[in-house]
This record gives sequence, C-alpha cells and structure tokens, in this order.
Amino acid sequence: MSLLGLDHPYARHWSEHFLTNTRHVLPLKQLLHLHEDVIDYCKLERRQNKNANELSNSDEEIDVETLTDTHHTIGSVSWHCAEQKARMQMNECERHVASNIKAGSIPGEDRECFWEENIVKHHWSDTAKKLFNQTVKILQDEKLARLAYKGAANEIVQRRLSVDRSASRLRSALANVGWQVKMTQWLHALLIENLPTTLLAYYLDIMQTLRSKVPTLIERMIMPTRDSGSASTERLSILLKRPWDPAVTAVVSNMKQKMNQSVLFIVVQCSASQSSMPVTSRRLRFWNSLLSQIGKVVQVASTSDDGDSSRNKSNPTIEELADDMLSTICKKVHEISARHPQRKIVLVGWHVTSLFNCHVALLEEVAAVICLGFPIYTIFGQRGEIDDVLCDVTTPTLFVIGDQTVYCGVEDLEDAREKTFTEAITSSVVIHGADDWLRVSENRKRRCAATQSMIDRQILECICDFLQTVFLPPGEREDHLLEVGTASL
Amino acid sequence: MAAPCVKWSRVVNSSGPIPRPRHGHRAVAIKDLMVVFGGGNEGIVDELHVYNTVTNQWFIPAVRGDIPPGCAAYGFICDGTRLLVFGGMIEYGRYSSDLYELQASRWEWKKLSPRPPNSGPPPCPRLGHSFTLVGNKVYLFGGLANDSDDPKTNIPRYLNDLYTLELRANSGVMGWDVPSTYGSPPPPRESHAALEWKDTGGHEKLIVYGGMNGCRLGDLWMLDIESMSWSCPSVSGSAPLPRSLHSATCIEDCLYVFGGWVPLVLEDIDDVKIASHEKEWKCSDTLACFNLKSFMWENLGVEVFDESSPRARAGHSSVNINSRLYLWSGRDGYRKAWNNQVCCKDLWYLETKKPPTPSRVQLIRASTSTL
Repeated sequence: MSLLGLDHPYARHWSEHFLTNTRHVLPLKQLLHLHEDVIDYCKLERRQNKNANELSNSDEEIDVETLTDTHHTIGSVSWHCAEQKARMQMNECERHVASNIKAGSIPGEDRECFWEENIVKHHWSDTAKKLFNQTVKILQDEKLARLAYKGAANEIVQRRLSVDRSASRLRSALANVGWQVKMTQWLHALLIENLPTTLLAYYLDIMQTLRSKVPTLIERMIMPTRDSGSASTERLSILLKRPWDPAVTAVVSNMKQKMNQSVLFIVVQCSASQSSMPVTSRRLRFWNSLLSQIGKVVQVASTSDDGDSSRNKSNPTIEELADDMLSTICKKVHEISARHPQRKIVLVGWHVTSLFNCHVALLEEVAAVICLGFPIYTIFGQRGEIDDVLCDVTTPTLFVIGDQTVYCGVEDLEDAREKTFTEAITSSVVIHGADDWLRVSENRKRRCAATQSMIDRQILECICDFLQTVFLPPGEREDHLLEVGTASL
Repeated sequence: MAAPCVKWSRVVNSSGPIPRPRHGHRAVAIKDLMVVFGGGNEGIVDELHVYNTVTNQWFIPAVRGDIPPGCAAYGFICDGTRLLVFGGMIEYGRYSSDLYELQASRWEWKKLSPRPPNSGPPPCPRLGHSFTLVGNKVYLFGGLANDSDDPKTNIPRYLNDLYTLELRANSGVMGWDVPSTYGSPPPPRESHAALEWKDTGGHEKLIVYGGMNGCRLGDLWMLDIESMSWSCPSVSGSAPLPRSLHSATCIEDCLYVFGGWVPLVLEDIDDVKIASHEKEWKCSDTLACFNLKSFMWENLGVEVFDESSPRARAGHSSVNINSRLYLWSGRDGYRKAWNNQVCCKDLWYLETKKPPTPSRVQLIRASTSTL
C-alpha cells in the first residue's frame, strides 16, 4: 500500500479490487429466497458477485447434457424425509376413522353432502351458530386445500402446512368464544357424532395439531368423550398426543462426522426472570435437540441462583441487570470451558441473548458465536458504529436473521459486517419472511413448501457449514469457500 | 507560568442535517458559524455544511454560482465574509489547482482566475498544502503533487514552494506572487499545519508545524512576514511525537495540536528519535499545547472524566470560535479496513478558558430600556 493510499484515501480507487480486503466477510446466504424479494438489490448483488468472482475462477466445463434425476425428495443436504413413514403418520387419523367405521363405533354411511342438514339448529344461540359455521368453513377449506395438492411431490409438506393453518384458524375461532368449557365440549361432541368420515379425519388432524400447542385447553375440550372409556377413544387420545412432521421423521446423515471437531454448544437462556428454572418453548427445546446432532449442548441461564447484591435490590436498573447477566454468563462459560478443554466452545443465543454472547466473546475465549436473530438497532442508534465495543470482537460470528424483523436490516447488517466487524470472520444467513425468532410467515412457508422445522434444519446446516469453515486453518479456508461457491452454482 | 486548564465536551443533540462523517475536509469560522466543506470517505464530498455554535444547529445553505467539485485535503480560508478554496484532491489521483471564492453573505460561489506570478508558472495542482491568511495575503506552502499525467499511476512529489495571493477588499482581481525569502526554508512536506500569529510587538508570523515527507515531522518553522525570513526557532519543553494530518489551532498565543498520525516506533526508543525508517503509524488522541510566547511545549491540565475526550483520529478539522476549539469528524485510527475507512461522527469543543460570567443585570436593563 502506497503512502498516498494510506494517508489520503478520500476517493474510491478506480479499481475497487485494489483496495478490497474483505476476507473476513464470508458471503451472505439466503434461505427461502423468491425472485421478487426486495433484498435482491444491486448492492448486495455486486457484493456477492465480488465474492463469487474471487471464488470461482476455475474453467471447469459445465455439463449441460446429462439429465439429472428429477425425483423430488423432501429434505436437504443433511437429511431427507423418510417418505413412507411420514406418509403413514400423516394418514394416521384417516386410518383411525376408517377402522372405527368398520368396528361400527361411528356411523359409517357416507353423508358427506347433507350431514349438516340433519343437525337441528333452531334452538342454538347466535354464538353457537357462529362457532359451528366457522368450524365447518375451516373443514371445507381444509378439504379444498387437500384436493389442490393431492398427488403433488411435496404433498406431505403441503399437508402439514394446511393442517397448521386450519389449526390456527380453529384456535382463533375457539378463542373468540373465550374457550368456554361448555361451548368447546358441545362443539367437540357434536362434530364427533355428526361429521362424515372424511371431514372427521380432517377434524382429528386439526385437533392433534392444536393439542400440541394448547394441551390443557384441548384436554378439557375432549374430556367427556374421552372418558367414555372405550378402546377406540383411548386410541384416539394417544393419536392426539403425537403430531407428526416431515422433518421429525427425518433420516439424518451424520453431520457430526462432517464437523470433524467436538463442539460444545452453550445455549444461553434469554430471560431476566428471577427463577433459575429454565423456561423454554417447544421450539427452543427442538432447537436444542437439533444442535445436539452436531455437538454437546449445555443450557445456561443468564441469571444466577446465589443471592448477590443486585438481586437484593428490589428494582435494579437495566444497566445493573445487564451487567449482572453478562458477568453470570461469563462465569458459567468460564466454568464450562475449563471443564471441557478439548472441545470447541460455541455460544448460541436468541435475539437479545446473542448480543450478550457477543459481549461475552470479548471477555472469554470461545471458538465461535451464533446469533439467532440479532438486534442491530437500538434506541440510541445502530450497533456496530465506531464507538461500539463490539467492533473489537475477534471471535468468528454467524448472524442468522429474518428479513421481516424490525430489529435488524439486512443491508445495515451487511454494511456493519464489512465495515465495522473487521476484526472477526463473520457470516450471515437471511431467512426471507422470518421474524425476530426466525419464525417464517404462513404465506412464505406455503410458497416455498417448507415447514418451520424444515427451515430450522436448513439453518442448522448453515451453522454447521459456518463452523466447518471457521474451524479450518486459514489457508484451507479459501479452498473450502471455493468448493462451496462452485457447488452452489 | 501556569499551564492553561482545558476541558473537552462533546456536543450532543445537534439539530438539523448532520453531515456525513469524513476526513480530509476543512473548516473555517465566521463569527459563531463553523463552515465545513469537502473531504471524503468512499468518495469525495461536494457538500457545504454550516454549524451554528450558538443554536447547536447544522444547516445546508442553498448555494449558487460556479459550484466547485468536491475536494479533499485542500486549502480553505476565511477573509471577512469571503471564503477561498484552493487545490486538493478532486478524484482518485487527480489534484486541482483551481481557486474558488464563496461569498458567505449570499452563499454564491465564483471561480477565480488569478494572474500568474511575474516570474514563473502559477502553483501546480496539489493536496495537503497549507493555505493561510496573514494580513491581506494568503500564503500557500508545500503540499503533495502528482508528477504523473495518468491518474492511475502516482508519482508523488513533496513540495516546499511558497506562493502568496494578495487580496483586495471588494475586488475579484488577484494575483499569485512568488516572494523572495531569506534563510533556509523548511524541507518539503504535506499535511502539515500552518497558522498566523502576531507577537507582542505586532509583528506577523507564519508558523509551520509537523507534516509528512515520507516520515512524520515534528519540527516547527517560522516565517517573519516583515523580513520574509525563515527560521527554525529552538523550542523547549517535552515535544509531542512528530505527526501529520493533525489539527493545529491558535487561541490566544497558544497552539493547540490534536490528533494526527504519529509513528509507532518512537515510543520504544528512548530519547533517540529516529524517524527515517518508520514502518508503522497510528492515530493519536493527544492534545498538545505550544506556547508561542515562550516557545515551549506546555503540559496541559486537562479535566478528564471517563470517555470525555475525543478518540484518536486524523484528517479532522478544528476551528477557533470564542476561545473554544471546535473539532469535527476525521478518520478513526485503529479500525483500519482499507477499503472503507471508518470515520468519526462526533463534534467536540475544547474550552480553553473559563467562560466569563454572564452579565445578567445589564442585559435586563438594556432590554427594558429598549422597550
């Protein structure tokens, strides 16, 4: 670098490459990307092209003649759906209904067209009528949806999505009547008794999904019918307890071996609650199990049990609380890493916790930080500005964000990665249509034919890829990127 | 003599359009206003911004006339309400030798074409020169020229030529002059600081401090305007590290030097200042004070609270407004991503003496009498 370039870099150089040193910025990855996405603006493209150009300079011939196998399997690099098994589970409710018809416990004649007319409705209240009509509409829509994707390659995924959607609609319909026990039990009994076979199977599918979301409410709703004690209703209750998912029945290839490293994930809890009991949602538990496929997982609370000074204060300020949480996490990370000296320590955090983790990385030695949803905007402006201590982070960091979040703009994150997080190798994954907690919108899921757990798996693959890259010695890293770059072309 | 006690304060909550952070810009003061022009980072800026120190407000005046292209590391002076802009970098590797005038009362730009000196050519295109108003003449000294015709290649040449530009009140007619000087002139340099100073006898001097000519310089030179003789006066006190791209502001016989690039190696070698084979530099955040009366570097009593002084930087601007030194932007020293240098976006002022107690009673009396 000439003295002039060092002292007077006011203008852009005529050749960008001359001044380019973006080795620390690994290319952005996009999941669930559709063509019309606004993020696909020229700046990002240029940046990616720049990276791609650096990577793909090989003159290898591209095979355009051989036909590739067009058989569509559900899954991705690390897993594929065990289709038969998934199909079995998918149709379990239908089979249950069918077998009950044979046994005669449910009237078997097909009254699909006029079953509704047989129900005497004139003494119903308005709310009851409304609830019933809503439920019937949901079931009809479900039926239409199923007809639409019947026989399609990704029927399993579409089924999961349409049932999920119907379940959420039923849930909101039931919430409109305040989940009144009398009302819900009446509806359940009415439907079980009167629905024709096909619609009954749909109804059970929906109930199965709802039960996993709001177990107590559904238990209460189905109580009287369940307590009748016959064998078939008992089977029904078992059936209702296990919702299926294409990704849950997945056949997983061994990602752990691919990693070639023993990794210890420290998942930091995101709560400033006083209780030390780990509070986790279903999804976070699912994530822990995902991570355990590629390494050991240790869950860590961000608040400590022992009564220290700030705890005794009734109203700690945000700063005190944050300091307290930071020191607690640091202490625990220190303990755990001392106990596992041979493992690579990777910090995983959701949303605000990911921010804590970045600060922890300044104080404690960790191998990598995974930020699942990263809040780059604050009330005081944007993070990664020049005065931000985060600029000094040297730990490899992966940012996984949704493009629908209000806490992080893709463009700003990319700028920050290139300009201010210059000391660390960083990568980012953008999930289109996802929010702060990386939950993808219904619409996007339907259009991309993916369920949330499938997307979570894809994110896991990105994490795995990132860790693989950063654990490579510097010389091999470029080769690896080149490989990945050409593979995705 | 007691060293002056100074205090940094960061200006917060400024209103109006805050200009983009940059380096290589210049600033001048007109009364309570700080006028900022040019500079750049990832592209040279052609905006003119004005900061009102009384109302804590930035604004962008609507300029007209021959609006100049953006330039960085140029010369900028203020003569009454007239601002003059000379030279600087206008594109990568391309320097200018144009002179522009901005009439601040009308915010009107005008391109000037002063006549060349009687003997020889006008000043060549350059950057990092000094452009200082002393009396009714502007003194252009040093800078860096590019000897290559092709902007893609760069053949740098450090300069130590001296030109004067005589200003006449209310007249656009100007001419360059190459004054004959006595004594040995300072060696070539760029990105130095030059300022005007009047000694107790009222004799005008041009002070040149620091700069760069392959290595950072820490020498101080003085040109006596009356006799046009250069001298390199001996200075006492503990001198700060040699530097370039710093700011130097004269407030009441004290020269306040802040920031800039300083060599990294000098810290390790005690007393032996070998500056010829430096390889590494860093930005400095030190504030040094040179007393022009006693020719001594003084130790400053700086009131420091945590985080209450500007961070290390170079290529910033500083102006003197009512015993305060206003410092804005500049490039950050140690986050060095070469492709896009990070710039500071903060505005600071240095209080160099206790502000006078407000004379409230008189104010009230005056206002009531006008009613």
